[in-house]
Amino acid sequence: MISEQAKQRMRELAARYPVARSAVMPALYIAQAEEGYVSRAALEAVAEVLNMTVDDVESVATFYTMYYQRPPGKKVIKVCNSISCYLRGCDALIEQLERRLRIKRGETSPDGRYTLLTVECLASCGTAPVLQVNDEFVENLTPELVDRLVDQWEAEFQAEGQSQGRSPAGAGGC
Amino acid sequence: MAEEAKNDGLVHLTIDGIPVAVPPGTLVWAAAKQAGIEIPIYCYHPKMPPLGACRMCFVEIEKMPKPPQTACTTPVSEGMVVHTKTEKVLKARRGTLEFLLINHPLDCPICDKGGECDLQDFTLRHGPGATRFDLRKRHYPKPIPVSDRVLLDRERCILCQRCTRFCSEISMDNGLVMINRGYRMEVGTAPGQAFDSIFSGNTVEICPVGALTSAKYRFKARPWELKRIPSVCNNCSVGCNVRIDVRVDKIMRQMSRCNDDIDDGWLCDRGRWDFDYVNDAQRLRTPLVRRQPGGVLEPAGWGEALGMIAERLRTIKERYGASAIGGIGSTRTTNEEAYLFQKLLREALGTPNVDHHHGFFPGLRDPLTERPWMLTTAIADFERASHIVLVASDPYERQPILNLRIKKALKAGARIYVVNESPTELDRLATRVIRLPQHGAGAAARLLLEAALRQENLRNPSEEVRTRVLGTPQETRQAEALCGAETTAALRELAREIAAAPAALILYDEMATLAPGCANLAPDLQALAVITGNIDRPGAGVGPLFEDANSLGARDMGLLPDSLPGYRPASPAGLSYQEMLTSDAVKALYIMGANPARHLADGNLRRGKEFIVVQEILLTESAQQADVVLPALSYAEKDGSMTNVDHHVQAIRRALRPLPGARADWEILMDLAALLGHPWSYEGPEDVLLEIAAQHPLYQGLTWEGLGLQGVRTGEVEVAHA
Repeated sequence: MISEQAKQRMRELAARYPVARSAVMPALYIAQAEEGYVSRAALEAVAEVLNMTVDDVESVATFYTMYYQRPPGKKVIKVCNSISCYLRGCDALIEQLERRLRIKRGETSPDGRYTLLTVECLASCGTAPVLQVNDEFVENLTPELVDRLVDQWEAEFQAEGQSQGRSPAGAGGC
Repeated sequence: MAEEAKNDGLVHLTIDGIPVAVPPGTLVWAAAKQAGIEIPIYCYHPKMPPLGACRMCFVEIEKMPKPPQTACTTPVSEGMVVHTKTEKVLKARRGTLEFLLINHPLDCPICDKGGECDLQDFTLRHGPGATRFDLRKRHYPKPIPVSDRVLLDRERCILCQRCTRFCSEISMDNGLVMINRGYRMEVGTAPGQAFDSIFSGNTVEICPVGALTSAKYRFKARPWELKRIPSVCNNCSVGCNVRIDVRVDKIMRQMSRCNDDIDDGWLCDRGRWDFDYVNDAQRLRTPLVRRQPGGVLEPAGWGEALGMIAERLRTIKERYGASAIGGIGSTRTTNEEAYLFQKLLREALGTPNVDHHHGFFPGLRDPLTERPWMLTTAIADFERASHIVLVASDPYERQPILNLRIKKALKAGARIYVVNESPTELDRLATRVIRLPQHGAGAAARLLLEAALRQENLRNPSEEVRTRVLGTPQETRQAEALCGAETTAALRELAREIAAAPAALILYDEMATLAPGCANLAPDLQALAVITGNIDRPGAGVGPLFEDANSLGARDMGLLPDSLPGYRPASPAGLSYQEMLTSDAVKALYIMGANPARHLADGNLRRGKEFIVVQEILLTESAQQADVVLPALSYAEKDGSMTNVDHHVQAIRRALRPLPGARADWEILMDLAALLGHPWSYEGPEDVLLEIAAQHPLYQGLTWEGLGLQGVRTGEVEVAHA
């Protein structure tokens, strides 16, 4: 379900442009924020507000990689694999993350904790190699730093599980 | 001489050494085509803006950097020198084709497109003979249905985007879209969404490969087995030009045959795929007669059936007089047949009772313009309208290809106003939608006209209209009460827009005039266009959208109780369609290509009738009640002319051998006339057309040969004389 407030924000955005369709990308972000990914309900809500067809919205939503077609993990890890990070050894780091998180790039772990993505330039070549965790930068990556990061995330999930008085969350995520 | 040539307003260039002169803005691809040089294309389609996606149309242009260039995106310029066959060009084309074929399944032997496939043809003419790709090809499940009518094979797709751009640029419904990007890109729809468009078949037709195929035609024929006959679609009043593709006397498919003035190169799914009645195994193949009253219909020879008709009609005429005979004609038979039908009734049988099922238009002509009731503008001129007002009409459902022309007008800047009882496909794109109560169209027309009359500076004020409308304020109050305050206010606002519009086009459905309270729909909207000056100006106009392929032809030919061919008044006037069906004074009904049982509440045609003849292709509800049923031929089995909604007179041509046992309506009428003592001497429909041309101002000068492949739009002739 896309809330009425979200739809209202889309309408306000649409009103800023000469053509309502121009607001399709920010509107998709609003819809994605509601449910974590671009669901059928999200497509329909955007189509309705912007007077587009559902197929038209789907075409835009699938063109851009930052709209998720499926529910992502709680931690979305985006590792840059453009030229600077590549020259500074991102490939090995990505493989290390794949081993530690037990998923391949592009996948979400079955317990819904992690999504591992490779992305194009994150505009931080001076501190390459870099990654983002839920849009927060981690710079000047080394294999040791990656290990520490994963340990830290695991510890966070552990603590979360204990504070809720039960074992780590099952599959599903958001 | 060279100087002289330069002043012709054209751009001059050289392509492969051939001098070419084309209008400014022409693309290099089109200029080459004019010079007879083939430049292969996939993504480009002449009816859509250039895209430059497929990289197939490479040419080399002197003095342009970084050769080769794409011919479909480059406009010509003066003095340009183009080469289409240099080594660089040929290498680039080979490269493009090699890439396109990397994942292509090469399943040509079982592909519907094989034999008429641009990928096959261009690979043969421009491609490499072999591939260097020795890895595994990508596979997808195939085919996947994108709708009940269209299937998608993603392995064959070359991602040219013609289909998706048709959906965004032409039909504007975005039914098919590109999903994902890069090497993952594919054609598709939103998850779980069907490609549900009345125009979906066009994507199959313009697909340059076998990626989109039609459920109806799949695996039915190979292109080289088909006989292709130019004709005209019989399914609505637009009269889109088609090519009937026939295999062993069965229609396999109908394809668009571009007529810029009518269909603009498109065909709706009804036109493309609704021809089952022609191929139907239940087609009537022999006359049927009811030998005893209350008996069953039994097969009979033509001699017995026609003899029975002549004898029974003669008896009824002697007993009750000629006016006890009524004739109900067709909106789907040819002009020639409609003409002969009324001639048989009026001259051979002597009855004035001739009519057909049609909308309600008071009198033969609109009293303000003295013109017969018809659209006052050409379809092609819709594009020049500033405002298009659709009152009680839904072209998407009823005259689909006009919907595309309206969308073309929309792209050219026209505003769309939908005034209708129920939602329509155009609502989404309309500037304003005014929702009417049930049977509210008559009231809406009244309120529009009344509000327009109150405008100052009317372009063409008419005292006659003013007196009629403003003199009956109680009718206006009734209309207000029916529509409600909000709708009334919206209609008045719209009337002000129409009065000030540079060119408003007002369209209504012919059959909407039959709804209760809508008797003045046609004259009120006609008057609205006349007083606001929206008539006889480019893009402006008014008129009914007719129902069937020859609805207008039927009117022209005098299948009306008060009109002879050419809208000459009939005297005395005969009984109307409804009167013939319900009056006890009519003892015999002669029905050609119509099914009036549908228009009676209980479907009973026989009440008070002693004798009924039906000429039909299938045993319809009406035919089942007849005393004699005569098997007729469909539009695909005979020659003749039809008149479409904007008065294009067009030729339909025999595409199939006539069904054995059945005969064309005109042949049947000729034989019957002879039996009734009126031997006519027409050799064929072309002779009948000459007789029509000799006495009908709107058909003056027409000949069968003169109709050609694109027909002739008449109507302006009489406008000039009026």
